[in-house]
Amino acid sequence: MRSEKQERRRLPRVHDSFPVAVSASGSFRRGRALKGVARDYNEEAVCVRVPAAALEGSKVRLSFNLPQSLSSNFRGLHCEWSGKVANVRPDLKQSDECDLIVELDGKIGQLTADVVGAHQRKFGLLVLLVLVSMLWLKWDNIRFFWYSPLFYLYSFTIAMYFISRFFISRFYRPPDIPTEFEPTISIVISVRNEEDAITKTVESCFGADYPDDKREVIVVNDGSTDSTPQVLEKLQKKYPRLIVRSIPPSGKRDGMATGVRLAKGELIVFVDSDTFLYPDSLRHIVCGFEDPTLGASSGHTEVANASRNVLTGLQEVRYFLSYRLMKASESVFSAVSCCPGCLSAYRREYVLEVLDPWLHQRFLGAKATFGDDRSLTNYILRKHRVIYNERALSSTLAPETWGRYMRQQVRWKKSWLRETLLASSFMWRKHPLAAISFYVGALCSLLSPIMVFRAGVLSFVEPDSILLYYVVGLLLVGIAQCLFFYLVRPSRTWLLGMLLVAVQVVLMGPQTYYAMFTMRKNHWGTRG
Amino acid sequence: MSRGYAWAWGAILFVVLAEATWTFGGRAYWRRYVIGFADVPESARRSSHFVAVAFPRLSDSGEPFTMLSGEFEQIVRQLGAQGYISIGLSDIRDFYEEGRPFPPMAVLIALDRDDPSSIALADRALRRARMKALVFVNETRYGTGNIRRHSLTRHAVLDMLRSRAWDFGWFSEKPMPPPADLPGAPVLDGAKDSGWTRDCAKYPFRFGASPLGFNGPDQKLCALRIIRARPERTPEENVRAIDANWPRRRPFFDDFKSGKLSTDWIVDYGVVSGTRDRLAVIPTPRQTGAAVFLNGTDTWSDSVIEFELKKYKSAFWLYTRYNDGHYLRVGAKKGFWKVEEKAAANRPPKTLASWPIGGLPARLTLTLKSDVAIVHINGRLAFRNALELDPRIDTGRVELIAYDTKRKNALGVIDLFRAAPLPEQWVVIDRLPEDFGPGLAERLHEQAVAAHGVSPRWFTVTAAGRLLSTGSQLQFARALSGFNRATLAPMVELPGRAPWLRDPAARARVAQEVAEAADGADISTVNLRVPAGGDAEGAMAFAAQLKARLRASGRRLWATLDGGEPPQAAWARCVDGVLKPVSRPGDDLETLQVYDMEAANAQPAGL
Repeated sequence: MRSEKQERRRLPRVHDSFPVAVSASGSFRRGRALKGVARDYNEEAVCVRVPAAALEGSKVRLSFNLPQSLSSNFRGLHCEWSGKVANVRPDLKQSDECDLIVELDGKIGQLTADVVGAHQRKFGLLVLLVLVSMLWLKWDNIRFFWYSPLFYLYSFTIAMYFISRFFISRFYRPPDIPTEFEPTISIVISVRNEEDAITKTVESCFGADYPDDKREVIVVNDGSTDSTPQVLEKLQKKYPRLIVRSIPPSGKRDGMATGVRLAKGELIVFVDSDTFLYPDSLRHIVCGFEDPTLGASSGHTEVANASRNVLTGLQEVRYFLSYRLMKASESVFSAVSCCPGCLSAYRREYVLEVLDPWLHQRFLGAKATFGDDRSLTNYILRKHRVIYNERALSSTLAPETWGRYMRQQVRWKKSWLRETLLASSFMWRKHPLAAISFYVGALCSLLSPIMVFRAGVLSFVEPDSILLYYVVGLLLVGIAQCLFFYLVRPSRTWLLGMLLVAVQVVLMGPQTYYAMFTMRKNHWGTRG
Repeated sequence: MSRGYAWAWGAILFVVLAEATWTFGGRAYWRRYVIGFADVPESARRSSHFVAVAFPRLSDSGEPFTMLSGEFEQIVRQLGAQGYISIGLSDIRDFYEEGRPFPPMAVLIALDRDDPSSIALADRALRRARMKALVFVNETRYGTGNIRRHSLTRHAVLDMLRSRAWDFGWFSEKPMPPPADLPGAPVLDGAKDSGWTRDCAKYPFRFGASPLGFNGPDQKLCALRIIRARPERTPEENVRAIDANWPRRRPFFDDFKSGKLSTDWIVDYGVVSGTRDRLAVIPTPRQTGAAVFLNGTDTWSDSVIEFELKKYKSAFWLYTRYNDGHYLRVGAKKGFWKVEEKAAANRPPKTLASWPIGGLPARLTLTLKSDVAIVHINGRLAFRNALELDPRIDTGRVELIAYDTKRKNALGVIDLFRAAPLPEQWVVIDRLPEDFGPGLAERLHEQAVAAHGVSPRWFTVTAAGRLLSTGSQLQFARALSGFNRATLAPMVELPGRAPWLRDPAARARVAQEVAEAADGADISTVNLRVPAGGDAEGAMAFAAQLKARLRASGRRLWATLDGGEPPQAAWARCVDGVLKPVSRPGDDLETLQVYDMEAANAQPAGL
């Protein structure tokens, strides 16, 4: 018969390193916390290396922030767990350090769930409170509607649209991992001048968990002028299965199309050249494709360099809201309007049906060279379902300077304008709520700068209370965004949600019209 | 697109279209055509008067200076139940400009503030009562956004206009010309002492706040009156105050035992108290007089008014026919009972009679008949005779005034008050015995005081066409009518049916006989009695012939028509006036009332 220790040792362990503060009660070092580092854990115990010894059997308290291995969504959430020192193993190399095996007062899964649950309850209530406040504010819109009907209609509509995102996204569920469905996948990466990032991208594609015989990785070098080709050569040596094709500088869309033509897998997984997959990204991105009506699936992308500066932190919030709020809402109706190029999967046979028209798409007499991802999504969305999978994670490098950020946004805005116009011709055939959300979102985005002008400028010419309502409304939106972000992804950048609102209103809004008037100007990517 | 989605889209579109239709006119047209307004057919419009009432801001929470919406609804419902018909500005313009009559019991309901929430509350109540109203919008320019929230939006105004349930007037807190966006709209002059709207040329359509809201053909469009409903009064009191605007038709009595001044009394100035079982009229320390008038008496002409004077200081008057600077006043002044008249604003008052006051309390009764005033004090005829009045003093209200040249010195206290319009009433004296006693004489005198005519039964025409003289006590009848300034109109009784009524020659002969008898008796008026159920056509033909003969000698012919049914319209051409029997106050007496052949019941019963 095995002892408890033996039983505990038999449980599978997760090796993850994260800082832990150990504070002890009882006779040993009462009230003082030791700064340690967790080394591994299993369902019942945690192994913590601390710079001092401890007595077996003493009660301790572990304070740490949830690591990603315990909860990818709620990593960073602060935890305080109590336990008992079950074993002390001194480090033979470092005399003042030892490993404490702390047996927890409860199963780690349950403890994690409790922490997450408490956090969600607290912040969920706050989010609800903010949303209710918005609704109360909207009641004023109705009461005083005819004092400024256009503005209040816009205000009410956009508020309802915004609130509905929260409500609808509550019904979002990612597709489950199918038990017997394991399609062949072709990862297509179109690259141009990414000598710094391409290595990590390719390594993450090969490092992700998926059968090698069902995976192929294709990199299309779109006329890079830096050392990207040399880097690719080295990678080919390291990964003999890597397929590299070089084409003359033609644009990202051509690169992607080349990759599609070379691909043999049932599914095509597009990955940007500066995007990095997580170990289980591929396992998740293929979920849902066992249903033949599914045409495409978008993964969830985070900002890898979020902590770089305020701008990248702000983009982290934005990315999160864009995925977890907007795409999740669209996914409820299987009508996601854009599968980003960072990480998305398409059914190859559906892509081949639309490959030529997509490749040769023209708009206002000019060849469409931007918005490739949104454009392809639109082609697929016409006849098939498109979903979002929050578990298919990836991370990407966001622009770190305002100049590059603004250029990127202009490009995105142009693609949005074009594709929204095209999608409006068929979105009405989708689920009514999805269609209405689409049209409302589009219209409100187009009208936003006008309303900013109305509230911000005209209110000084002809004083009324609209400016106050507008500002309060924006504040509530900002607070709701911040709280929602913190609710689902506790992070120190959550407060940047307030800045995001200001940036969106002041900069992004007018950019819409700039993008409209410069629609015919084309250029490649942010770094180009 | 799946069929399910198609249904969903259909439902969404339907809801959106329905809401849009409802918002942009549907609600207004529903109100206008489906709910509609209480009204009467054009043929029933015969009134020439209306009452205008202004309500303050309404609220649900009972804020200061507002009326509860529930109370407003109660008032409106009660008005509707009493038969009031709400009118709009078009009805008023049509009356004053084109003569189109009002419906009976016409009332103009107004809100003196354009607060949107107040209007919404009022609209709800008016919708249920199927009434319309007028709202006075504030035209003073404020220019700040917050204030604008307290005014109507353009959409609301259009909706209100479309529904035809609302009219718009305007008011301003400072002088301004009529606003261009409200052409032809009336202005509300609520400020007592500003007066900047009283230029009829500049403001041709105007309502002035007044203790009275009664308007008639005597008013001009630029000088209409509007009464304010008071939030501190109960709904019943407000309704009563509105009712009291109509001309009083019924007798009024107040013994002041209710403990407070009744809403029938309108304080003109000074302090008026209705407590402690009496009415006291006292000036404020800065005033020399105090006055209170009885509501609904503006159009009174002939009347009987009685009060018991308990106490007074300096002078206390009963004013009657008080209007446009003319009046007749009776009262006590420095130890004397006095009767004075003032024929015009630019004329000084003239003393008609004066008599020392014997003692107080004393009961004074004033009977006004045409141009005659008969005063009784403590039941006895005062001043020895009836008093002749200037005919220019024709109509006006009843008012009690205490006055002294010194401030806060005047006082008037009365115990009871009684007033009634005096309809044109005749008294018929049956055949009197030769030796009738003082009791009958007194009764006859009492009736004759209030009578416009005395009609003793003197003549009868038989079925054979013979004129018989059946009267008695002829001199007594003459004296009675002369003393009480009543027309002596001996009665000629016709048979119900007779062959001679169908024979023109026989009719002419009888008519000649009656005319000669009238000549012989030296009477100015003959009262022809036509029994009910008789030969009406023959009687009318005879009356026409008799009227012609009497006219030739400057005499007049009246007809008393027995029976309950209204007289035929043709009687108006055959005689100078029609009488109907109303009561028999005694075996020997009968009262007749003049029947107004021109006006049907255009006015409410009133009070």
